[in-house]
Amino acid sequence: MAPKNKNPNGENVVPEVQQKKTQALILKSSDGEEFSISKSAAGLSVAIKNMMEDDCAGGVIPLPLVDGGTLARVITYLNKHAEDGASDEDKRKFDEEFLSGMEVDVLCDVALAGNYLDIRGLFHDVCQRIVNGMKNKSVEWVRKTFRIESDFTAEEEEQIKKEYAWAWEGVDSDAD
Amino acid sequence: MAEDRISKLPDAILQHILSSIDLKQAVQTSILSKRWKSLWCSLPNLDFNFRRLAVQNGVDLAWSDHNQRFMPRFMHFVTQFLSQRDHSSNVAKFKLSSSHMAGTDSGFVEKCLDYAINHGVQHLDIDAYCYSPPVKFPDGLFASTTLRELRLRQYIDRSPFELSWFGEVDSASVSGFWADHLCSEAQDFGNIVSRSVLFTGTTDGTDLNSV
Repeated sequence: MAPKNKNPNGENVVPEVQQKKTQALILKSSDGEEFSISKSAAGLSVAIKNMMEDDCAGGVIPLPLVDGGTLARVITYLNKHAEDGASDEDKRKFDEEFLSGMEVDVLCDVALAGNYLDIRGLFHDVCQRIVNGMKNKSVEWVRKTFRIESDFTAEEEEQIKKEYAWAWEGVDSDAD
Repeated sequence: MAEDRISKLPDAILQHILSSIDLKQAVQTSILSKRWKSLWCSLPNLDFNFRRLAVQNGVDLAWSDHNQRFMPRFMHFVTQFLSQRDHSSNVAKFKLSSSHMAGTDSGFVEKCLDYAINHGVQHLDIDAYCYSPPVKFPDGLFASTTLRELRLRQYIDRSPFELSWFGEVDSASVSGFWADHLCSEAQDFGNIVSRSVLFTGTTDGTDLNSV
């Protein structure tokens, strides 16, 4: 998927709020894309904040575990949460919209990035989205939603159900 | 091509996700694929809830005899869960919320306490009404260097817990202690346990916050 924050010339489009802030640094994704971000927004990531404090980066912070598409999303999130004057209600609405449009693959990428960059609110919310796709759902539903392919044989599956029969009480196997 | 992205997440993240799902369903994820088979076994936060499990199993708890009838199944679930869990994985939180309308076997509660203490529990929360004999706390409870919070809850005006045991208490390592709705014996309790201990809501209304 192509990152959405690029203009037709392939340059990164910097949201307005960022331009107002003088202090900026560059985040570099695993696939070499560079993103400008204000220090106040970047500092919402505990991991980036630590890297800034260590001053090991000379203004450019490489993030070898986050690809450009995911980093663009994370930066959108950080910018909103660092925005001056954004109320908690604004942020909550933004979070809702921000996450509701994401496919499961994207949710997983963002969860991984949120964990790695130590952005607690984002990590928590994105995990909650994933949880919502599993909670009180049948095994078949979960497999389909997350495209999990069973590598068990039918016999192995039966064996596991037998082994943990106490966890399958009251579960109608037809409901799967 | 659509791929299974979630299964490639590290264990820690998947377990974080499973922690927000009920324990019963968390065990059921073992059947998803080999990747998921053992993830539930090392979940650190264990929350066993009588009512929730009953609802999931289609049991209506409006009558006390339904509570009594479901009790063996609840205990079976907890016992099996603990015995098939990965014993080398520590427990951070252990919560047992049993029925308020049916007695819980004190031997069962003691086994739960033992398991939690032996697995380095930090937050221990027991809400169960036990018939005699009263629950004996395991020796390791306050010798535990990991325990940070102990909460005992009880909704019947008779303490199921062996209060005299607390003569041995060294609560230096425990920052929070709650004993809700214990009987007035809790006062003795308060005299025994040291000052860092916090009591709330004893049934006779005694404020034990500053013993």
